[in-house]
Amino acid sequence: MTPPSISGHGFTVDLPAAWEGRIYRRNVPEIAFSPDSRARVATAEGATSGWLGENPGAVVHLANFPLPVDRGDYGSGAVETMGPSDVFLAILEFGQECLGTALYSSLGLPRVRAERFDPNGLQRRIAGQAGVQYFFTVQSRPLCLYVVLGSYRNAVPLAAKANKVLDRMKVNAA
Amino acid sequence: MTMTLPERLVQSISTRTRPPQSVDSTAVDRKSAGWKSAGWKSGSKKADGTSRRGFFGGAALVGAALAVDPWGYLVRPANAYDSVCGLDAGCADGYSVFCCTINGGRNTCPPNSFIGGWWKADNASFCGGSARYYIDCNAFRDGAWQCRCAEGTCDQRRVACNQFRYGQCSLEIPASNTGPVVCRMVSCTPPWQQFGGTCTSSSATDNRTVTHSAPCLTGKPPVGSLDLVSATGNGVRAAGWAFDPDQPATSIRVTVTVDGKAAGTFTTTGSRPDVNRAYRITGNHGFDVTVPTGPGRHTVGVTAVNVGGGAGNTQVGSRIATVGAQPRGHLDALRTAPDGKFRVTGWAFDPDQPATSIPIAVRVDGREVARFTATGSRPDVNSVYRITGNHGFDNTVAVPPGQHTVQVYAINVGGGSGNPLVGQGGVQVGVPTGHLDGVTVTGRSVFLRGWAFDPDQPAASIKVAIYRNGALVGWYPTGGARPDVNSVNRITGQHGFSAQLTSPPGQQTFTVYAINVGPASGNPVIGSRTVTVA
Repeated sequence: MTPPSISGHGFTVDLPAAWEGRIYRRNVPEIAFSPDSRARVATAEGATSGWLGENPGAVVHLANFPLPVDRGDYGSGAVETMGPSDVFLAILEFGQECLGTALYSSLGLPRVRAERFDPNGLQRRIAGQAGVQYFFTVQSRPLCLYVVLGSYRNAVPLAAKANKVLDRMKVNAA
Repeated sequence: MTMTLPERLVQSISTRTRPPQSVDSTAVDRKSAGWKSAGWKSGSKKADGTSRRGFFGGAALVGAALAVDPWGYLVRPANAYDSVCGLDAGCADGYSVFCCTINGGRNTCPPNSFIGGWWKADNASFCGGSARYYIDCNAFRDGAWQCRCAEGTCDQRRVACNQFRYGQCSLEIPASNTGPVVCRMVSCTPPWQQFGGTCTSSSATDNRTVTHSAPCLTGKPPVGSLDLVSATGNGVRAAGWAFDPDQPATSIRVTVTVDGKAAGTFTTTGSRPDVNRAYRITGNHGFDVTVPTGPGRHTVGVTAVNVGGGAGNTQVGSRIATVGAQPRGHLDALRTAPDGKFRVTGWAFDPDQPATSIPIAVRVDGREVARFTATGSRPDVNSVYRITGNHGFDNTVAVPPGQHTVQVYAINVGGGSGNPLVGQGGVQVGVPTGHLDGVTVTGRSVFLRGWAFDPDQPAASIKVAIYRNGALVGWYPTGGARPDVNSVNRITGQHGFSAQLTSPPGQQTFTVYAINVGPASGNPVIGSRTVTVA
């Protein structure tokens, strides 16, 4: 049986059994940051979700537990629901201006190493969990991989789970 | 009637009334953090002797709590500070502290930290329903910061603990030199504008942090905009507007920094009716100032100084300006043109004012004979240099007939000195031009071929005169097709010639003249060859 596959915005993942994923890109704001528009928002005559010029990139979320609808791009809202055997991966794409910079100088989709996970390596520390980040470039796409493990104590087997799904990921040129 | 609270809210309340969850040793060193017990939070005197009253700050705080989160304040059995600081304000909640809490009230990165990235929370009441931006200040990996819990206010979030980076700012600092998040700044201005040159516009969103706040963030900081930064002479000009919503009719002060150092403080005395109209305020709130700098590339920032409540001062913008840069340009082509003129084509712009069309000066034989503005569209130049405006030129210049040396200069309009030479060359004006391509001999027959035309009448065929040893042999028309000549000179017509002569034996010198058809200016030699005729 062919494993379920998700794709979008240049990412393709063959999901292992019991995994689910989302690939999305948030809307591009269209209102300019001007005195008029700012004042309109401030007086509740209008509301915006960001301002013109913002560059939302593609985001990939993968997890071996049910992903809630409301999630931050680095997984807030989801990581709070994780159990000790759960793994969460987020991949965020950044703009072309990041190409060639020191932060994104590593090339290729990385694989995680259990010893690099840290209970403090989290966007928001949650007791028992551990996380790690990698910044890199694939197919001229600057990316960040963020992996959260539901249990720091189970880092070795959970990191292996994360790598298994990374093995099934393909990143195409944008 | 019993009001039923949503389960999520009940859980939140329940968590907040419990003692803080324990934090394991990998997260925080409790001794160094001065970790507070739940008993302190319930009202007893603090361990450091600070009274709870002093901690609360009185009724004003309750007002602030109501303004920030009225529903949360009214329904939760917690103190006013809980609402001021929003959700997840405890150390054990895992989030990073606000910078103003640990940085003397300043909403800025503390020493030994750098801006590592940002995210936004949409529909934030703090920003009038628009996006609110959180900008992380990361430590370096130099051990200058130790993980601890903040203390002294309800913003007891973590300091220099979370090893995390959002990844849109200070891209020159690699992950290997990135330490934990020391604290986070907050702003209603997009970071790619407020910290232009440091942060990119690649966004990330996390709406769960939308209620997060701190006592030092209550009140309203100044708002404003840095509309313009440009190089002028040996300095930079910065223009924009700023006002403090706490005193909206008052002109406030703005501080201009150059490369992080204060370069001057000014009052916003300029009239900005557009700002007043938009915000429905009065007073003068514009600034348009110039500060001196040395030559080179500078980061120019403008900070609005708070005059009311709020978290310190607001950096209203930052831009990069290059002072003293000379214009750049290129002379693409220099060609003869009809009616005693030559045509000069190219582009030029001044990086000091990259959107401005600048003057071009043309010197002929050492004397300036023309000056015009490079107003032609050159999207190729704009694309390469990432600039806007019109920077091309394609003009004709009238000069006396003859051979001339032409030099083209771009005229400086900003800082820096001198007007650089963007190209030079020679051009013949008002006289025919051409070339004797070859002379072949067969017995006593001599075959000459080449091309010639007069730029005064570039589509017309002209004549060439052939001399042998200084004596006229005859005139021959240029009626042959020479698409190569037409292509190079961007002309039409038939400009090739070929002539077959009979010559006496011996060494013979053949000279070819192009015959002028425009204003009288002579008939130039276009070629001469010496051959031996059998």
